[in-house]
Amino acid sequence: MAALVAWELAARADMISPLFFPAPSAILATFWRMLIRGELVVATGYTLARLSAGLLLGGALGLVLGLLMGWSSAARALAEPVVAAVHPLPKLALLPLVLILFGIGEQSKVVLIALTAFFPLLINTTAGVRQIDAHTWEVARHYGARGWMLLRRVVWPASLPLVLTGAQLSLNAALVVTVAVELLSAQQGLGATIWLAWQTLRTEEMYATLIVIALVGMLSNLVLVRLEHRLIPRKRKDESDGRA
Amino acid sequence: MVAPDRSRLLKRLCLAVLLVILLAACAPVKPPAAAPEATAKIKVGVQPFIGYAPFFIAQDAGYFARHGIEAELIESKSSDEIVTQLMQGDLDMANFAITPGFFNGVAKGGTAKAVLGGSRWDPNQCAPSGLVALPQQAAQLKDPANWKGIKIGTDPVGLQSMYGLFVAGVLKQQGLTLADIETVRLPPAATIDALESGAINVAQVNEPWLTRVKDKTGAILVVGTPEIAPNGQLTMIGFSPRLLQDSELGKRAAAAFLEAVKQYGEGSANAQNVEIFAKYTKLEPALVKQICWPAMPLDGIANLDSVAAFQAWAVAQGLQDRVLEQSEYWDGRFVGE
Repeated sequence: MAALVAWELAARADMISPLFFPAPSAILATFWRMLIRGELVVATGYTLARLSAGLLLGGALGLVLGLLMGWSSAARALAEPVVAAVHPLPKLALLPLVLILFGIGEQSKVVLIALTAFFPLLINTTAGVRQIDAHTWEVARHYGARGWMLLRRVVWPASLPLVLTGAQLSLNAALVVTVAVELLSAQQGLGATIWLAWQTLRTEEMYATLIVIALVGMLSNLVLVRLEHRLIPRKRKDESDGRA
Repeated sequence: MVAPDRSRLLKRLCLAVLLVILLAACAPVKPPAAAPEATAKIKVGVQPFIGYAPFFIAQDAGYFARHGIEAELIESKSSDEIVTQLMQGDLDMANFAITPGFFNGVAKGGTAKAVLGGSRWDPNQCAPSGLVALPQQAAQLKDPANWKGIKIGTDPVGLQSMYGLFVAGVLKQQGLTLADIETVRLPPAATIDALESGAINVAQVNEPWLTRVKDKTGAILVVGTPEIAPNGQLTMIGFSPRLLQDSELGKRAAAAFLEAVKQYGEGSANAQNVEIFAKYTKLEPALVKQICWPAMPLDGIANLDSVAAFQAWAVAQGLQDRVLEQSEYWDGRFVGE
């Protein structure tokens, strides 16, 4: 709060360039105007639609392949070199290739977001399954758990904390790439709004849109934390006891 | 007491000094010899495009050095970046595309100004940019009815510059507006595939991509920018507050640039031009010879009527807050004779 007040005073006193650092009050006024006009709502809608589609596609594939790689050493041996090679590639660098493969429409944007969301969930899910100790596997099998039953009763609950951590990482990374892709090649969305604001040097609009992106990130993470508390009640208890 | 010999000596000395002073006073007045210009460092914003060639020539052919300037060429990613760097004083001189960002920035107190004209769409010369389409599509576009709903691919900057005014002008001839078409921002390298796959109907391209796209796909120029906006001022040369205040240094920088423009005007017929431009852009010299070199005014005078027309269009599009007076964004002290 003190920093905001200092910023406001500095901008009003022309101690900082109001062109590049407009006063917070001017940013808030712009934010409100853009909200009332519906510009931010429409842009957020586009961004959320792309983010959701990418997360669903990449996340689902990451989850399934992660379970498979955690469970089966053969699958792990087969997929691990590919994962190790592709994961470190900056996904935005693949944009020209993805544009050629999937065209210039929404498909290419969603594929790139999905690719970004895929790896954190894959890696965390694999780790989640692999950290189940041998004793648990043995007991489960001893009691006759096989296939679907083993997955539902043992593998899923035991790996869930790491899966949800992976989902959170996927979400954050996917949001970053969604905005970046929109900056580069979209006509609509929060990234495209920032790009236009930058091009027209309407910096208040740029900051106002950044506020929305921050809010989207915060709210999405909040939803995931709530989901985590619902799915893993003991974690909530641990956190309230100060153990997590 | 002073000895008589010494007194005589002193008198003679005084007389000699007086004589020298008188002679000096009677001597014809000559202007002091021009002091050699002190070398000054300036930062110049460039991009690997043909519009920046005069800066490369000024650097490598020695025009900057001749005017006592040590120029550091700093590559920027976009013209928008250049405008903000000029206004922040991170660059001293640069060529920038005429965009609403520049005018909005000046209106909000940005202190950079345009001082010389840059690339211009000369109707008497080749078209350095325009709309291209594959032959079959181009044939269909002869019928104005087929323009409605088409997809136009643009570079990632989009249609916020003079290219927006150009495309709007093309559409106006067909009785349409920008709202009647779909624009798609594309990396230039993806344009070829997008045209061939039919993902876009038409591409708005500039050199060297205009030549590349035509060569690789057999696409043809449907309409060139000079046809729609003859003498349209695409870019201007801007000075930072530093060069605007230090007008002596600003004039040296402008003179060096205009001398380079004179050499640039010889185009690819000048082997040194080709060599310099190929070096800075890493383009094949054969391609550099093939592309269209846009016109630039030798005297540096920008077509400010065209700039006014652009501003009016940008305001109507909601991209610019207001139309700026010429004196707000243009400083004419640096144009050539």
